[in-house]
Amino acid sequence: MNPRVLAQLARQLGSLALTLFLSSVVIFCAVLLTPGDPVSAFAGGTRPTPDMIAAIRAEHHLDDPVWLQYLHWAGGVLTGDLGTSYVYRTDVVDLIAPRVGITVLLVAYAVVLIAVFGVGSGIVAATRGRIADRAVLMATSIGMALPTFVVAILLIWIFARVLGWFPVYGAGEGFLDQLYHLTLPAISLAVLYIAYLSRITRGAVVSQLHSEHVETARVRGIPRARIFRRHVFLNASPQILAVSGATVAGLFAVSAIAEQAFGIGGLGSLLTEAAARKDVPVVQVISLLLVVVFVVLNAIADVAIAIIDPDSVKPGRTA
Amino acid sequence: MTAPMHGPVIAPVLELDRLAVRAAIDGETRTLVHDCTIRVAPGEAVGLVGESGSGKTLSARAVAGLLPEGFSTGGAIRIEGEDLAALSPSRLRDLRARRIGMVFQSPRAHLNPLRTIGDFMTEALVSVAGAKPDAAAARAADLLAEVGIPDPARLLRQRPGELSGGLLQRVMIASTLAMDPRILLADEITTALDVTTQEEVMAVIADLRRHRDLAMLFITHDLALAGAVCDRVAVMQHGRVIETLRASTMRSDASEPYTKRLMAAALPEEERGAGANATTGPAAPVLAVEDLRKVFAVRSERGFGTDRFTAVDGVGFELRAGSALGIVGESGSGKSTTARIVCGLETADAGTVAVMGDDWSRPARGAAERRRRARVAQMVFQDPYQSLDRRRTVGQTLAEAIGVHRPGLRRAELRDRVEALLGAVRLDVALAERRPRALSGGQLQRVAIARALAAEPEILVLDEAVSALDVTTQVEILTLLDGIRRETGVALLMISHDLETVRRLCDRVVVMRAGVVVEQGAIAEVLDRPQAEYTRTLLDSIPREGWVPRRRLTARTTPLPTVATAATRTIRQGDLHE
Repeated sequence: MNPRVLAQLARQLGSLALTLFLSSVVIFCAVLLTPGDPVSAFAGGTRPTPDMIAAIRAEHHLDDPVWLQYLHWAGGVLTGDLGTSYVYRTDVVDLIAPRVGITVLLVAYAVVLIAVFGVGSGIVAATRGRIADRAVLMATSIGMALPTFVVAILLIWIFARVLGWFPVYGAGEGFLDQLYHLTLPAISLAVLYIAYLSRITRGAVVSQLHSEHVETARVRGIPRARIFRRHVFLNASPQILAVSGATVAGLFAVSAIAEQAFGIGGLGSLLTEAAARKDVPVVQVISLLLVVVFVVLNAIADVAIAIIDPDSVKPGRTA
Repeated sequence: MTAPMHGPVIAPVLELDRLAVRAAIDGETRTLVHDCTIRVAPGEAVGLVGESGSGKTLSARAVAGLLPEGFSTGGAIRIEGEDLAALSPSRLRDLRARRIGMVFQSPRAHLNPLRTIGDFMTEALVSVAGAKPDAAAARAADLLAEVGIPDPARLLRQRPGELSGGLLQRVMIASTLAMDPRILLADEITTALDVTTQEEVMAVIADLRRHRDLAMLFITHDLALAGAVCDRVAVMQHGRVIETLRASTMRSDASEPYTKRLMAAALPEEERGAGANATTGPAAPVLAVEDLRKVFAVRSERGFGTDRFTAVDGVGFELRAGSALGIVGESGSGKSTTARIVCGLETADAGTVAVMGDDWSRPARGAAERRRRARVAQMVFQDPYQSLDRRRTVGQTLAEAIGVHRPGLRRAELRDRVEALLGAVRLDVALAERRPRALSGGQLQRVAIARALAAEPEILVLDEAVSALDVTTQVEILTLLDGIRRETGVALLMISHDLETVRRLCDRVVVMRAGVVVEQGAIAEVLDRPQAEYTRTLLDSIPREGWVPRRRLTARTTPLPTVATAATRTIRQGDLHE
């Protein structure tokens, strides 16, 4: 492999570790700073006696200095002990594990939709003449203006109520049934990003279409499809990839809205619920998970870009 | 030279018959090229010379099928007798792919940066001519060797970003040869290259044409270069071919005043130089640079760690009050870095810069100090389109520059000063209301100079200030600068890659190469009796009457056999360059 790509990989791993450390500190402190006493959340509605309070504080190290609390928590996370939910009184691992699958499936479904329709419509807008360009521009303007929950409501009304094609609620059983159930949620999740990626793709492809090296290929009589594949799209892909990394990572956070709207018991709805009920350990772990996903996906995108374009890693020429 | 004219039997390789190029802009159609008629016989080289906007590039692009959307053509374009308008799109693409080779001004932009040279060289062979990848790769290596590239196998694995401009231009040329074209369309192919590299590339082309019986349409703004490498030269102005001259006798045959002006601009004026010397006595130096050194850390080729690159190494010179000093060198010589250190845009690692007795070795700290220095030294950059704010009128730009150095001027005084500055650069006062978009390149550069003069500086640093301009405009700007120097006594420090530019303006010259001063002295001494080998090479590389480009890299000794038979055309070998 190209040494520059390897160097990029090494740098990515270094920054990954640093980002995780810093964000874990921020997440830990942010949750501590929110108003309300975790003890009352843990006591769960009953009025605790002073003895109970002392027992709870001791069990959860709440009387230790903040840095020691952090170390305790971070050490636990590193060794696989994610703590205990204040609300459900079960291990956070047991809460999260069964919900990861459905969220990942939902996001993956949305990613496929975004890749196919976002990149596809962007290419159509860039290459299929003025009318196609206008049409895609209009559609994407609408797509970008619609918030995810509005799309969800519209989809439920049209496809579930009026047409009755898709179920309104739940995640389904078995892979195909799950896909069937997740179709509307995935669409509602994807619309905004399809519009966004479409714009990015159109811009990147247009700038390559008019670039001088594509001109050279045309003079040389290279067939159109080949020019598009090997000179236009290839060269536009680093830009598209860079945006995609951040987009897909963002989907995990936004999936909460779709999960709530369609009653899917995934990570997103767990996060919203936990935040509302001040279930600190659950919020911390899911937040940290989101950061990990975000950083890892962006790192993957960066390495992919480095493989396509090793020179992008090199700093600009001096002198 | 025997007549390389089109006989009754041989059809011209390329024929433009009353070609017109029209553009529909905002609903109105404008004709940009009128009735352009040019014939290029087999093996012949025709130069198409003119300034920017003359329509020379549009004509070539019409042939190659590269006109932008909304452009249309009239008249006829024929390649080996076939009218392009009568062909089906696929047949047209095939004809262009096999008969025409096009080379452009900036090879770096015209090669896909993400693909290897090998990909680029073999792509047309595989996808158009249907060659097997292995055979295509072998042929690519042969072609690279033919254009004098020493290690073709290695080069095939490299990407454009790893190669110099001169090498890339050779790759471009080699790639066009893959299909054995009959004609090369060369659009300003050496404009972006250093003179020595230009000579190399032109020598390569001369060899190829000799061995392959290759015709060429050579588009350039440089009449001297066209005259040196072509058989005939067509001069274009305002979209028309105003005259076509035999290259060998063009200097005496030219009848159009415009052609004569182009020639005057391209030729060294012998009586100048000495005149410039006369005005400068032994004045005190306003700028003294000593033992300057600048090292950049660049990321190493292998990805880890850094390499050190010495851009400027022990450079020293003096600029006397009211005089003009030129720093010449090719790209990578360190001339621009030197200028940037002098202006405080870069910090030297060692050495001193003294301006009028003050130490300027480090960039100014604080706004007050920067302003104080700006009153002494001002800079004019290469591209006036980028160095002026397009949203401000010329008057606003100048008023702002005046305001920096003379705060609190009243409105009327400010306007008087703006008018005085426009007068100083010989621009009409009415232009103060215009924005940059409405001005020509020459006018814009005058505005940039006026803005620099607003500070009433002692030193004007000109970083390639005329390189982006047409030749006739170059002469105007150089004359203007010389006039300003005489009137105001400002000292000029001119950074240029062009020895002729420096000769026209400067009384002393510093020749730099790879960060080191190779030679310096009075302009006449250095340019007419060069001591350094490198200065001689630079001077030899300038196209002039009777100039024959020479290859400095070792080339292969035997030409490649080509599909087109060169044997029948041996008569013309001697005509070209010997």
